[in-house]
Amino acid sequence: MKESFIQIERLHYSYAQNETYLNVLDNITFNVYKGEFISILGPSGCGKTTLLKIIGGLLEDYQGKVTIKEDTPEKARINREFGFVFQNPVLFGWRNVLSNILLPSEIASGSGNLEKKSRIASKKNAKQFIDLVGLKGFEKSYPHQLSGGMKSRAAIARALSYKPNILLMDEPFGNLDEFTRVRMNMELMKLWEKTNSTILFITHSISEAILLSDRIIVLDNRPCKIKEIIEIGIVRPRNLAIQENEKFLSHSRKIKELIGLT
Amino acid sequence: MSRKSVYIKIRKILFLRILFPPVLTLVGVLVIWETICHSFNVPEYLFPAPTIIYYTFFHNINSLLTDTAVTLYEALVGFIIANIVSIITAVGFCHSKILERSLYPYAIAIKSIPVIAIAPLLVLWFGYGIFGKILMSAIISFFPLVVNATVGLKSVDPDAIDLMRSLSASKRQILFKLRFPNALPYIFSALKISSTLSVVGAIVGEMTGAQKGIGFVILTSTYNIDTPLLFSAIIAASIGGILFFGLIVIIEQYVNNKYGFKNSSKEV
Repeated sequence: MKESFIQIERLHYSYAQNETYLNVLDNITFNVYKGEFISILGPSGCGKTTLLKIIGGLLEDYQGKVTIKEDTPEKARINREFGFVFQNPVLFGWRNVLSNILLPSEIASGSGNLEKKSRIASKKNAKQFIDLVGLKGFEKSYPHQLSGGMKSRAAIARALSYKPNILLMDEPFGNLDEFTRVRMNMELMKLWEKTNSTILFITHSISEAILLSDRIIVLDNRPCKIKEIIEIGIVRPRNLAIQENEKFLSHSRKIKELIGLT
Repeated sequence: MSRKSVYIKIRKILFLRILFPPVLTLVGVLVIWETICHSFNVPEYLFPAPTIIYYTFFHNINSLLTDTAVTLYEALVGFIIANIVSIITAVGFCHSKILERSLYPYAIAIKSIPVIAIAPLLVLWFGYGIFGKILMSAIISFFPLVVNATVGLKSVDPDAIDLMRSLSASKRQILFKLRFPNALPYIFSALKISSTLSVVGAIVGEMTGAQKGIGFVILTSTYNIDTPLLFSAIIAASIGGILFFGLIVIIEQYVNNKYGFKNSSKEV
């Protein structure tokens, strides 16, 4: 029996704009199981980010039911269940890589700076994740000295550093060139296998979604509702060669049809 | 070529290309000035020759130093007061919408008014002492600072705020770990403007009524038609202002190096 991590039932979200109500999310219902890799695929501006923010406990005025392991999203956020990775890596320019990755532990320790003992422990922990994402040797570099791919790696290391159960990724590779993105995809897959985390991944790249996911949630535009949830079922470990796979191609065709690209 | 000789060569080129042209300009202007004064017999009270100003300057060096010190002291104290008050005000604006809506428009409006016009009022209220001058330079440096600091504190990347919220950071942590470092380039840009303005404020304050300071020397030497002394006072005031400005630039560079800012100074 698979353990359900995130449960979303009849989720609605709307806000007032220019005297009319804008329906952003309409009757969204789905479950995420422990250790699953789920992609949310849909056209730009359809409310994917809003959905992720609600799940992550950053937006509260929604209707419907969202449970994260029997808690509300806000409570889960305070318990540090989520690691966020945004499209923009949001590294602080005045902090080097190591100190950017130490930010979550500094914040958790309260208002001040870390005590010496916990500082050493956090540094050791941060360095471990810097190695894991392949940024060894760049601990002292500042964000403006890093390439786009390296910035994404640092942002992922920061999110992983406090060992959250769920990673919420909002088009994390959207700003990268095709080559770097494919490489980051493969590395993310390895990281996910190593860390046993549950990943919710927003993207508008069909091939990226099929390559990475166990299931893909295809969303419709304005208001955003679920068109279909597709079970991918391609065996793991996967590599780039699966893109030639018959299953891959038929999924790709189907998704294109759903979105209306054919 | 060894590394050392390359280094020396680079220094030579730097000296020739960067330092040499402005120095040459200065020497040229001084020579022409001196020649005109001598060949046309320009009266000293109207336009003294550089050599005469040089002589007067060093003849009065002690009193000039004291007066410059007084002015710089007033400017510095006023500047520091303006800093503290403006940053507290900016933090207030950043956290309270009502406070911002009711006061910020006036801060912008007053920023573009010549506050110097209120100098006589300050003499009326606080007399000829040093306090009125400190207040004058505080007022004149306050507005650029408060406007820049507010913009700097507020212009944070919304994603960065989301990141801090996702880590459940408190308002205080968001202020100290995100907003302040983000505002630093804006604040430094205002500090550079305000450092020179604060000297202007102090001098204007002294010119409206004082017993000492560079503004006082400027005023008395004008009354006495002691133009060489007037020029000396102007030079002393300029050197003081440049030193103050330079101090801020040095602190800025230090902060930039320490915190890895690539290029700072954001204008508003």
